Amino acid sequence: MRGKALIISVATGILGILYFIYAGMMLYNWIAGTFIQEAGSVNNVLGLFVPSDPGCAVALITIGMLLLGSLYYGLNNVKGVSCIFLGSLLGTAMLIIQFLVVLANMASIEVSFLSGEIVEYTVVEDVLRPEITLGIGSIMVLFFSALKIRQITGK
Amino acid sequence: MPSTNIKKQEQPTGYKKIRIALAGNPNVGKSVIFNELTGGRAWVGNWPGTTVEKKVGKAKIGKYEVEVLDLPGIYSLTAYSLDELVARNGIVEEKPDIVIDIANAANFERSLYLTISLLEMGTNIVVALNMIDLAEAQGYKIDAEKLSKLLGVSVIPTIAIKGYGLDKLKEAITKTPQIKRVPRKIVDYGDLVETEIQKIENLIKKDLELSAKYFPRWLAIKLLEKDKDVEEKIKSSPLADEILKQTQKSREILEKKLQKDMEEYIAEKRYETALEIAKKCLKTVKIRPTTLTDMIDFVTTHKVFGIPIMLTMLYIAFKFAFDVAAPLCDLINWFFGTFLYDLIVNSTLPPIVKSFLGDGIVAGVGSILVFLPNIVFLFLFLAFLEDVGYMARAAFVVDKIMHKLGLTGKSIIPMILGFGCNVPAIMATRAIEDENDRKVTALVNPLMSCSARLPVYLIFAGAFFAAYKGTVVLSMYVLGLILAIAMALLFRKTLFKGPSAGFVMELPPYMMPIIKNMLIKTWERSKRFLFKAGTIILIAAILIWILSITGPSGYIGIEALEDPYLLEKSWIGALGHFLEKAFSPMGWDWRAAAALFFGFVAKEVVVAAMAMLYGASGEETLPSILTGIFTPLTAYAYMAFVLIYVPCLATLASIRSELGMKYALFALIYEILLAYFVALGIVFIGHVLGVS
Repeated sequence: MRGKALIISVATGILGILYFIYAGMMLYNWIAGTFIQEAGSVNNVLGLFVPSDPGCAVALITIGMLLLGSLYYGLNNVKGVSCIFLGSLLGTAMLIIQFLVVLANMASIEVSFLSGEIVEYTVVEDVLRPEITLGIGSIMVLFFSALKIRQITGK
Repeated sequence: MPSTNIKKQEQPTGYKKIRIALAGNPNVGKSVIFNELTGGRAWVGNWPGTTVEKKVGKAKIGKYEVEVLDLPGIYSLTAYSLDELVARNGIVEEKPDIVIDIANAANFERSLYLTISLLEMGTNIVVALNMIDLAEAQGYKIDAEKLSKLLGVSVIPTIAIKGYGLDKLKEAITKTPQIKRVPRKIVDYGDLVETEIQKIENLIKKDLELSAKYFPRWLAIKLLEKDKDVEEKIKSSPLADEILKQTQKSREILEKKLQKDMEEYIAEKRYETALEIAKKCLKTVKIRPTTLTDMIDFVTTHKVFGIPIMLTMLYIAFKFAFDVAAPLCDLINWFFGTFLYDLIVNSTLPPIVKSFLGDGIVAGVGSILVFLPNIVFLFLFLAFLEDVGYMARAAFVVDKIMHKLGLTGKSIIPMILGFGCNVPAIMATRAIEDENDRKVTALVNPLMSCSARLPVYLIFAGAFFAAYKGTVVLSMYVLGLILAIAMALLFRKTLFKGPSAGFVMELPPYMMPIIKNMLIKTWERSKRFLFKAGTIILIAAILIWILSITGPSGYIGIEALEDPYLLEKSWIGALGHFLEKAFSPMGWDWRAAAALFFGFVAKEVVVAAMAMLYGASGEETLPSILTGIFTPLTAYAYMAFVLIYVPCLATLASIRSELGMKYALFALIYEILLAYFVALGIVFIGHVLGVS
């Protein structure tokens, strides 16, 4: 039991840190692209799919903060469980929205055929965004936090 | 007794006509019950302050044809704010046959205070004890039968959002008009006070007209409470001097003997009665457990996490609204820009008619309707956040900041409503008691980004910031909120000095949203946009088309729409060149300046005007044209200008009707100046940072 809790704590910690790292890269990409034209983006440097989106970066930082905040309060504490639940819930919501975006982009391609345009769309770029890659981790953590909440609230 | 008069009229259909009013604390479910009774579409929101004006609906219940009044949520029957006054007058002046008092079972004692106040008025009431499921979840049960006996009225347990108990409520409505209620003393204020109440009451009873209109004991109590509105009512009586003199005398005697302000004393006694009744009817079934709402609230209202969570929620909302709705926008764009436009261009109509339909109406109105899916999706998501209960938390975290700045938290609800449309938001300022707070809130409300500005943001964000257009649009909303708070602070420190009133924000429990409610809300909000597209925007598009093909020298010809040299000679060209001088520091050309002029009618018209002036049609879409005219920096400054400058005509009219012409003009001028300097500042800072 203790071992399981330790594994979840470590996984949550790693996930939280990853959210922060991706957010940092996004902000770097945005600053580099907007203010320092000469600088290369992280995409070029690391070959990762990191968009330059400051709004998304704020969302990722929030999720990272909540996941790490749960470790600060402790996962056996109501406050800690609240943090991990909200953090993973937001992470999952971001994943769902990104999936919807992928579907919408595919539908847009179909619409563009109507006007005779041929538009290329690479699904991989959208699927490998951090909202999805990290979101998968969030779903697992959400499952754990939901069980914890059931224990606490009795529902 | 005056309040138990039942105005039943035999109708030819055989239905008897009665009127009922729905009263209750804010966010207790009045509008849900209103909708259930009338099949109406009253605004339902899981946060307080949704209803600011009384609404009227019709229903057929049993043998009655019922007119239902939905009153604003109130905690008491004092008349400190306009919404309380609207609610009270809805009962006192309009004299409904029955008042359905919707009590919150999950906040029982406080709801009882209003119930007691209603009974004191002598009204014929039925208590709908709503949210009994939440009360049980909190660990207690209410004995409805006992409560009914103690209050002497019907008490029906309900769960309005699930429809539970509503049939019984309807049954009680049909029975109540036949019950001739005898008003009784529900609160015992003690011998000393009762003697003085009796003295005033006896004087009031001498004025038969007055005592037939209002319940005399209620008037007497209200006079002792120094209720200004009731004092005004008394002034119309020929016995006014005598009554007011006696009141003054009684109040002085009582305050001296009790060593307490009478208003405070009376409120205390009412609370004591409410607690006493509650104690007799409440049964604790289990110790209140930690609920999911408690757990989520710890995080969403946290001093560190609260604001980032709010921004994340808004980011998700914008991503959903813009990126997910994109294919539908593309489809509408194809329909107007390609299919319909080509149909007109390839038709055998005379060239001027083709130009009128294609370059005028289709380019103008079509360029706006393209954004309908974005607006519908955004409103759908906001409706979801409202119904889940998150919007109240968002208001709470922003209120914390406003409170620190010395601003009233009550401003936050009209400000958030402003994200939909500034007109109802300005009307919602009526709930603010303090006059200075109310004026300041109404004056800064147009800075909250309403849906009319969305098409402008989307055009520019799509053209210049495609990779993160959701974030750029979100930044406009945040900028609007920051400016509104800054201006409110400035006005409060300079023009409207004085302390701000306190604010107690009730956080409703989190709930699963009801799809039907969400869809009604989304439709009601989106409908305004569609209506505008078919009226104001259509007229504006026609006007712009006419002003583009005519000029000081007379008719120029439809060629002006494709020939920039000819277009410059049109009325629009003259206007644009006149305005261009003022906007050249921001790098905007004369067409962008002219489009801003027409945005005064409605902000969406900016896009319609641009589409025509830049000759967007067919394959040459407006975003692609704009990328050759603006830079990302000047585009962002333009978006900020559209956010801030003159509110639309309807908003100005709303400010005029709420605050007067002087304030409407003031709003108009300060917003133009603010918009100009903010846009200039963005361009200047951008250049300094090397963003060009």
